[in-house]
Amino acid sequence: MTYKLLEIPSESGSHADVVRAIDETLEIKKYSPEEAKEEFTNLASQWTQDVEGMSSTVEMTKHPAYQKIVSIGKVVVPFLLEDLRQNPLYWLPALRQITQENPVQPEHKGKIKLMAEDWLNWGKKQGYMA
Amino acid sequence: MIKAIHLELRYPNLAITDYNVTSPKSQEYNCFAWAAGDQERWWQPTPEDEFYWVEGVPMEETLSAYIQAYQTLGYTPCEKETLELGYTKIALYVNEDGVPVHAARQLATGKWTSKLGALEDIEHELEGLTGERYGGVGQILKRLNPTK
Repeated sequence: MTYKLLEIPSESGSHADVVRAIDETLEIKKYSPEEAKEEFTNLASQWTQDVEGMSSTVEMTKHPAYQKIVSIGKVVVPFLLEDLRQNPLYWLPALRQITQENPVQPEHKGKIKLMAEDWLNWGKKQGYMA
Repeated sequence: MIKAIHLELRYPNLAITDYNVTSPKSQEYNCFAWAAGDQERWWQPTPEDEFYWVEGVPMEETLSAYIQAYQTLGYTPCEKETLELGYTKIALYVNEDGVPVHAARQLATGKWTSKLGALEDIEHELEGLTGERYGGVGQILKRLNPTK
């Protein structure tokens, strides 16, 4: 999602003018799969560089690059799942935030590789992965 | 002694203190688990209850909650980080808001062992990890070693 500074006409100020101003200035970015992959790759690299060594996933996921990855939406899910094979920890919170799902079995909580496996199985069932 | 420049860049005090890299990178456990002797889980209280957290302890990133978590393992708050015969100690590092951001466990040598996020384990001096990323030591805990 990208936002531009809202400029409301100062003279008229009617409700219709305000609505028109919002419509013209609010841009919701829609990503193609190719754009999502490129954006994810760039943001993930930046994020990893900045947060490696942090112990709190809460702190890690507050990073602007992580939040931007989440804001890409469901189109980024296949790339998150693909990267889980290399980085089983990193995208667990993002997947949950984007999909509003939680396929992790209760007994796997905290066991990162098993949590990632549960997400990969979920991804296959949902058709996100081959 | 195994040194690592990528660690010294993130924790500049390592470069001016003694430390030794003791494991490869791993995303399977974090410092809070490692301090508790758990190499199989990532300990993290989150509102979404995503990772492992000690049952019955508030699901919040506060010093009080972390102390309570380690109290379930027999640790109690203490004043000094100095080595005491017969005891194991844990140091909780907190950021400027008092939020726990790291934990280290004392070894029988008096050195400390830490898991650095998703990076390596190291042996180090307590001061080696103070700084921008891990703040400073906010609480020391200790536990009597089990008799053999």
